[in-house]
Amino acid sequence: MSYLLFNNDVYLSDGNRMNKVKKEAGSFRQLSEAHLCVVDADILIASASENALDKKDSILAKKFSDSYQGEYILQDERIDNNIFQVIGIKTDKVREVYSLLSHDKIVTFVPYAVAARKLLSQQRFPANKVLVLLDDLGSEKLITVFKGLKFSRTRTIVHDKPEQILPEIKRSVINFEKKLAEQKDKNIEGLIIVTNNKILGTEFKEIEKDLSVEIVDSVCFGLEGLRAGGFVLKYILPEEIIKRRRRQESRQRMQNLIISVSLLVPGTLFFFYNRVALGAARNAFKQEEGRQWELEEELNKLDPFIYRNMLERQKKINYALYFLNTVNSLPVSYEVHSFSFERREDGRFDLEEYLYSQQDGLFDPIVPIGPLKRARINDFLAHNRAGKYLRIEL
Amino acid sequence: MNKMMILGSFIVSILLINSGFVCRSQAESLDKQKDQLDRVVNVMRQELRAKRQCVPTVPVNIGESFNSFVNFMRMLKSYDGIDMMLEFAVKNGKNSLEEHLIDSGFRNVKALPVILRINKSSFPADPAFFLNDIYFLENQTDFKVDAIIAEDGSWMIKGEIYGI
Repeated sequence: MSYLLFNNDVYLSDGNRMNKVKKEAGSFRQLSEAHLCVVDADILIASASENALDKKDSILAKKFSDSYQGEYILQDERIDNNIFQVIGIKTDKVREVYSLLSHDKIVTFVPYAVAARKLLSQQRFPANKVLVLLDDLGSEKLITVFKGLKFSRTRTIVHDKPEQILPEIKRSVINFEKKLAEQKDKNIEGLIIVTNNKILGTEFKEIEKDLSVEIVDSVCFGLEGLRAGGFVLKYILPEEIIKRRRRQESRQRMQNLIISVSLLVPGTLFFFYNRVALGAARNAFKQEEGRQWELEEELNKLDPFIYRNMLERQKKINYALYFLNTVNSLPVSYEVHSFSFERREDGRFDLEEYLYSQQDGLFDPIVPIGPLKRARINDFLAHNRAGKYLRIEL
Repeated sequence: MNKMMILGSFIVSILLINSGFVCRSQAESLDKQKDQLDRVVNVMRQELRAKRQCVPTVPVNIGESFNSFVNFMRMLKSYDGIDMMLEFAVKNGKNSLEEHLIDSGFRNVKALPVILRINKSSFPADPAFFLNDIYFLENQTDFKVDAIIAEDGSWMIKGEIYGI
């Protein structure tokens, strides 16, 4: 994990040591994950309605552009009710950083003052006092004025002598207090100079005895603040935001497309499977209909030529022969009262006979011989006369 | 827009599934009809196979068949003295043969249902004698007997005369 501070020079820290590196892409090639802060940022405290979130950004952007010329990338943080601190970093500066480090490597990208404030918040200084942070980076010193969440623009000075630095601090404080006065923030109860340079701190006290100076053991407040982490802000180039948004939209579109296709595929497969089955069933039915039609045609042509032959086959029965055979098989005492030959549905005949006895109701037994072997014989009574009913399936 | 697309896909899918079910039910119905047709076709094939075994003969016009039958009736009367009366089986008050023709069971062949009644006065002493005449009549013409009923001394022969 690497921590970077971008100013006129770039300061790189691995968490223990801090080095100054050149602003070249090659200097950062080996970095895998970077947390960085940029010193050069402009600040505006502005009011906007919290209720109209969609309009808030445009109001704050308009107010910032009225105060600062040029193209900025803006981020804002809520300071109080409907009060926001707008922090702008010039687009060229952000682009320069991203030209040295790719988007996927940069985890944190905040203004220096925001990173330093993180460290100050851990030191638990009184909230109603103005804190002047003098961050000694060696060749240059950074002055930032804080009150609560509010902070001033960070100034870079190259002076080494305390009598030169102290007026710069006072100027920064005056400017900051003016801005606070514009915001009607008059709740100021003195100031504390916080520095990481022990010698300078001591000398400040010697020059002005009533000056409150706190020495904090730190290589760089900004880099240490970055280590603390937990930043909400992150500066990203507009084109990257558009690219990410497009990527997200395209991912969303793809997701929706997959869902839509997943919904459509089963329905489509089910429909086409059954449609093909219906087509096959129709074809099979038509083929069978065709076969039936062909057979019908063939039979229509054939029937007139064979009906006489079929009639001959069906009607070959000698009624007299069957009748005589039956009567001759009966005992002589029987007389045939009535008889019938009737064609059954299968084309064959039933012979039925109603018999009476010539011996005054005395019936000789019928011996099942000849055609009588297949005969069904029952008794009957008609017109007060008993008789035998005989049926033979011929 | 995206939700609309998903909703649209869902609705289209539902419609497709519904159409699929309609197709399936139609296919099942057609399959059942085809099975029935299969059975009919098999019966027709068997019928055709059986009919191909028959010796083909020249078809006869129904009018000619009828005349031939009436001539044989007269001939039998002149030989045996049996007085036979011919009448249509269905009495519809019309005299034309065409009005009495029915489907014969053979394709493109008509049948004329008739009833033969024997006058009691000319009733034969031996029924076998007359039964033999009917057998002869049947064999010499395109007449087919359906029933011979002899009861209380009256005779009735039901049958059909065939022709195209």
